[in-house]
Amino acid sequence: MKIAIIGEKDAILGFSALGIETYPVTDAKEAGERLKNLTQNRDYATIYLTESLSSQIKELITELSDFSNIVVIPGRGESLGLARERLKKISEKALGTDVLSNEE
Amino acid sequence: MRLSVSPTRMELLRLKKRILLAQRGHRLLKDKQDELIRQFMPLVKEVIGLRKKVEEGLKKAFQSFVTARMLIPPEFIEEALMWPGERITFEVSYKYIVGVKVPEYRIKKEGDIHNYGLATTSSELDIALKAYSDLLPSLVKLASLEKTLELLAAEIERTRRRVNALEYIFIPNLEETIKYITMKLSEMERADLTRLMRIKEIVRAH
Repeated sequence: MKIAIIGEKDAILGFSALGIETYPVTDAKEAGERLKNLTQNRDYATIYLTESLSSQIKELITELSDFSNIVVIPGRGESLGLARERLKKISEKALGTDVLSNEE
Repeated sequence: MRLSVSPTRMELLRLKKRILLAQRGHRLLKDKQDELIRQFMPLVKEVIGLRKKVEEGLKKAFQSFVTARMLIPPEFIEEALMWPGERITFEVSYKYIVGVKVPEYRIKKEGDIHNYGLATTSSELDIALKAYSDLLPSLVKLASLEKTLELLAAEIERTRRRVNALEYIFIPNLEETIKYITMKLSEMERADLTRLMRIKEIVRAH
């Protein structure tokens, strides 16, 4: 099994030295295509995707996360809170309420 | 809603058996749901904490990486990173939480990330790469925990649906049908009785 990371070139370059396969893309559309390819090729247990790209292909991510484990990480530093939003959705689905907001 | 069955004694016995089974299933599912939620809650907290840690770590790593890029010409950086110095082996195993199959990832790092020339790079790159490398285990753990959470959430939802279906539709339906059949049977019994009494009266009159 392998790990892959998709993101803007400068954001993911640092990972390439770690033995993670890096796939630099320039826009969300390209990222979506790449994501499709990688999930079809069942070799990748986890695919990391930078937040800035994932915001535009949310539906695709939800669709594809049945086949692989797609994790959204902040690319160039600041977090956009997308992952938190997803977490919130998951907990709402499971418990009927949002358990996160009263954590602050 | 009443089930469409014929009001016979056989049917009544069958329904009574079914309702017992349904109640047992309902209890079991309810227990399963409670246990799933009990597992889910601490996991959510753990994921939130871990994500915060990972995001902060990534931010720091990226910042030091940017610093390194400012100091080193891009072609040297690419050259330095072209051949990954560190190999990771990535293993996936599965464990079961209340019957839900969740992945567990394990990584093993080999080699040295600082396998590039000292002349063309600066120490900032070393620092940045070290930061990325240190972050990797947390990143992998985050991936598996988030997946676990997702799977658990789906299972909780499915279980809740089944619990509710049993509790609010299936069992009430059965109860109503049982009631209907018992009423119908006793009604028939009464009808029989009065018929008998009437016949006896007629016979006696002769």
